Amino acid sequence: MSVFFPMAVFYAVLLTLALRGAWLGWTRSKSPTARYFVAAMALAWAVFIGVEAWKSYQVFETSLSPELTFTEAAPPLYHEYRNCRVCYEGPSGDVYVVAASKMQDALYVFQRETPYSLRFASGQVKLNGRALQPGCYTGEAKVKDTLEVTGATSFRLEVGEEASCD
Amino acid sequence: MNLITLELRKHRMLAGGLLLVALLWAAWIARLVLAGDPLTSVAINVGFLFALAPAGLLVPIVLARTLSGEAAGPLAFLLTSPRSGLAHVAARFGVATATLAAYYAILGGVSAWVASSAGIQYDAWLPWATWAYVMIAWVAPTVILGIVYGLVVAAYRPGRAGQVAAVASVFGVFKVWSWLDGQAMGRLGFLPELPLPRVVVPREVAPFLGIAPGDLDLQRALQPLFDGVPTAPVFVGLLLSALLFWIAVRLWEEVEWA
Repeated sequence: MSVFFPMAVFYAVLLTLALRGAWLGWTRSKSPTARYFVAAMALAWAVFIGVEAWKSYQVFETSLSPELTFTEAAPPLYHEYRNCRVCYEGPSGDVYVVAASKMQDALYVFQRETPYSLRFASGQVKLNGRALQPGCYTGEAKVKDTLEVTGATSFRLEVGEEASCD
Repeated sequence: MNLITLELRKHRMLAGGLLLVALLWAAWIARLVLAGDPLTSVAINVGFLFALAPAGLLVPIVLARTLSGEAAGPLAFLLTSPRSGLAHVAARFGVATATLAAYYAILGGVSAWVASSAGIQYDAWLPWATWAYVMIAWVAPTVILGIVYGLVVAAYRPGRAGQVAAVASVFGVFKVWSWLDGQAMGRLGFLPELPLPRVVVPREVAPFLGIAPGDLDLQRALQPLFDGVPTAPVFVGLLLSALLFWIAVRLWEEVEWA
């Protein structure tokens, strides 16, 4: 039996409630507004439940599949070490973002060839050992390019096709 | 007797109790601050804020459960003529929203006062803007959703069918609401953004809020992460409130006038 079975039961119960609500809502009232409102909203709920169930089933599938590949889910870069205050790292819109109000000490390594933009207000950042002045830079990173940060403030690194200095 | 006083008569225990709790809390916090201990008050204030703020949900819940005083209800004789759906829904929505507006104004005002007396610096518009944002984006739609819930139940004969239909449709509204929020945040880039507020927490206050020791300038800390505060939830809240208001008006006229 699939590991997904308990989740499937959970979603089936919700789906039953939504569809039953839509049916009862449509058949048991004389008020047209109540009929249309309840049927529309309950069916909308049923659609959302279906989408959610399908998505979580996909997550189970991929997490259990034997030929597990990290390449597609892997971020375009990783850090050897990092020390930051109020920071975020992850996808944001169309780009992968590393943002921090203060980055004390970090070493990032690019994993694939990709455009990037890098912005910081003060401090020192070294790209492949070459020191950069505060400001905003765009460029094309190669595999194994390194970014060494020693105490930058308002640090923001965008990686991806849409990376820009705006 | 008009519609507003009828609403107040039905809900005075709820509205009065809610405001009384908020005022007692305000008096207690004020006593702590005036006794010369604003720093401890900040911590107590934050703790209690998270406990008190959700109590406002009582209002839409009670609205959803009470239809007493409807067209043929026990209080109908207090009004000399039948009321239009618009007047009825506007009175219920108005009284409930005014109660919650006062409640959250007290919570927000006291918090702002405690914060400033403890030395936290912030923009003067921040408390009012937060209050207005929360009221329009989340409180108003929730209140009108409570009214719609009650009217949907009333549109069915007493029994389980109406309850199932009402629960399913309200869950549907919540799902559509969050979906609309997500779509508006992602796609409507032309909507104006509010600036990030300037909030500076001095080093003496930081430990009481569970922040790492040292000054914290919230604006500078968040600036690389966000450009501004999106207004999309406000517009979604307005749209949703208007739609649900219209539905409530029609439901009242179809269900209670018959």
